[in-house]
Amino acid sequence: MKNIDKYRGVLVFIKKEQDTFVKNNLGLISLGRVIADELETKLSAILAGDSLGDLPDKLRSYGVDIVYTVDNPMLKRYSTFYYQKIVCDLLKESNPEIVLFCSDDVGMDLAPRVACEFQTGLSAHCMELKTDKKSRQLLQICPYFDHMATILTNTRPQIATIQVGAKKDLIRKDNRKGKIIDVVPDFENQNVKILSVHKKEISDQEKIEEADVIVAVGRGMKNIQLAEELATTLSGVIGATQAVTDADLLSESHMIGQTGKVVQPKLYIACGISGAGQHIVGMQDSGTIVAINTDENAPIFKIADYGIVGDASKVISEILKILKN
Amino acid sequence: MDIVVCIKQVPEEIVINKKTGTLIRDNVRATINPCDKNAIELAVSLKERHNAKITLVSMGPSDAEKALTYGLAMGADQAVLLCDKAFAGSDTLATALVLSTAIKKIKHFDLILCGKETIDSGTQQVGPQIAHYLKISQVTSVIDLSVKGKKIHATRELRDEFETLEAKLPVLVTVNKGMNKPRLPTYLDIYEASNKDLFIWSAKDIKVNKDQIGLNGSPTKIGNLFQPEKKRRCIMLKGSTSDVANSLLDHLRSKELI
Repeated sequence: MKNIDKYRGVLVFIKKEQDTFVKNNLGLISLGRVIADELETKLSAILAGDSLGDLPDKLRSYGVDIVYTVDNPMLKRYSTFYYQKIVCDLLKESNPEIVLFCSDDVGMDLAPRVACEFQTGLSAHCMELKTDKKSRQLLQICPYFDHMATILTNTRPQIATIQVGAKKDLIRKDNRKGKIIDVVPDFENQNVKILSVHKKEISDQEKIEEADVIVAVGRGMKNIQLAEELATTLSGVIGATQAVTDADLLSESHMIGQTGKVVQPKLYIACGISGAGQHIVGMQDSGTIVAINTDENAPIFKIADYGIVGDASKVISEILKILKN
Repeated sequence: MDIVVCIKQVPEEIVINKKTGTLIRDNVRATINPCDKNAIELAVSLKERHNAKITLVSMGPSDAEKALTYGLAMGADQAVLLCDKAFAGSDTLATALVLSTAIKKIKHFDLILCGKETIDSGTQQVGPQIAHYLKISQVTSVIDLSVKGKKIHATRELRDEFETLEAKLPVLVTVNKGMNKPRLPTYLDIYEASNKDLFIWSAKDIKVNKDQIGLNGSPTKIGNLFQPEKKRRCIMLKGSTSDVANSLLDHLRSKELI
């Protein structure tokens, strides 16, 4: 392994969106802070965007030791080319041992190119990070079907994209007097330009990240209508596993998990969901979890508060009957 | 226009060895990764409107010939299978190196299409890394694409919005599942596919550095697989359907959740 000791510190990638940070980016800072503390090293953040205002100061107050700011009109919207350039240029200067991105639209587009540029490993959609203090190795824990896998990177920097929960903004305000370093980018012409942007029309039923109650269905739930009825009765929304959205039984906006949304409702009712890692990553931090499944050994019961072994359609139908009376 | 489509053969159904947690590939029917079919469909529909040649590229075991033959039957012109024991165990970086080195050997490429993600690993990393190795631009998560001379217009589907970009060729595009409806080849198509060129290239054929491929050449390693920890003490509700339904509602009411 080549000269690993020259790499020190943890760096997180943060982007501005409208007047604040991109959703879930603050959760990434909390996570980065924990990892940096474990390794007794510094946490830095790269904050990119246009008219950053007081956002760099906010990052300092959230416990970032060094905030690298890149404030440029060209960075108003994400573009692969410019963002790749600023991140790569900064990594070449600062040599962090760990670099973290959110596994969102931007992170999934950007991180692979950055890892390729540095000829280093990249692990996708991590749900948990641990460290080995002696080797300074980052243990990147990702869902792997029914199991979890620990991914190790033998090159530096160790780069990962993280599934950060929607409400997981556990910010530790410790008013560190971190440094702010302004970086002036050197942009060349890029080969891609934005022609237009249209906001998606998202119904309240599809804003599942904001819901307090989610009734989620998996392949084992034969009657999705019943689940929808229960969701409506409890003023909640309907969620789904990838198997259900892949089969076009519900639209992708309802998909929860590794490639879908990360949710954290107060109440999560899992109907006919076995609990594959890819799904659990998206809902395990919910308040109270109810699992209904025919297989008593289904992994979903390991993360549930209440379990019912049985046919979810029958149980839900019974619950509806009781609620109606 | 030269179009290269990168595809992967994946198990038709995800079956897990409960003990080891690994994917069972033996005796499980294999198929083309779902959104890679969308990528082939896009290529073939572009060929119908423009003068184009479509080359399929896949890295995999010799059995992956089947996936390539299916793609040829859908309308691709030729196929390359990258097959070598030295490729086994490659992570995304090593896989992208193998695929991009093969694409360099194919030489002519204006548009490279990949599915956004595979159903057996789902990292979404290989496409952008191929683009980086080839030093070309990328447009990911595409749901609509048209060719305008030496440029493309492509619409990306993002979390909250649709973004339409113009990109100069050459460019690599990753496509979302469901962007189009992949055609079903006819018997005649399948017959004709068997007469199309399917090349099999080894590590030596593409002159890729053996230190950068396979398990040993990959910077990431999968450590032990383990069962998720039991994070909560699950109270199992027992009895008749009516009993469990009532009991659950009592618990939820006492917690003021409903």
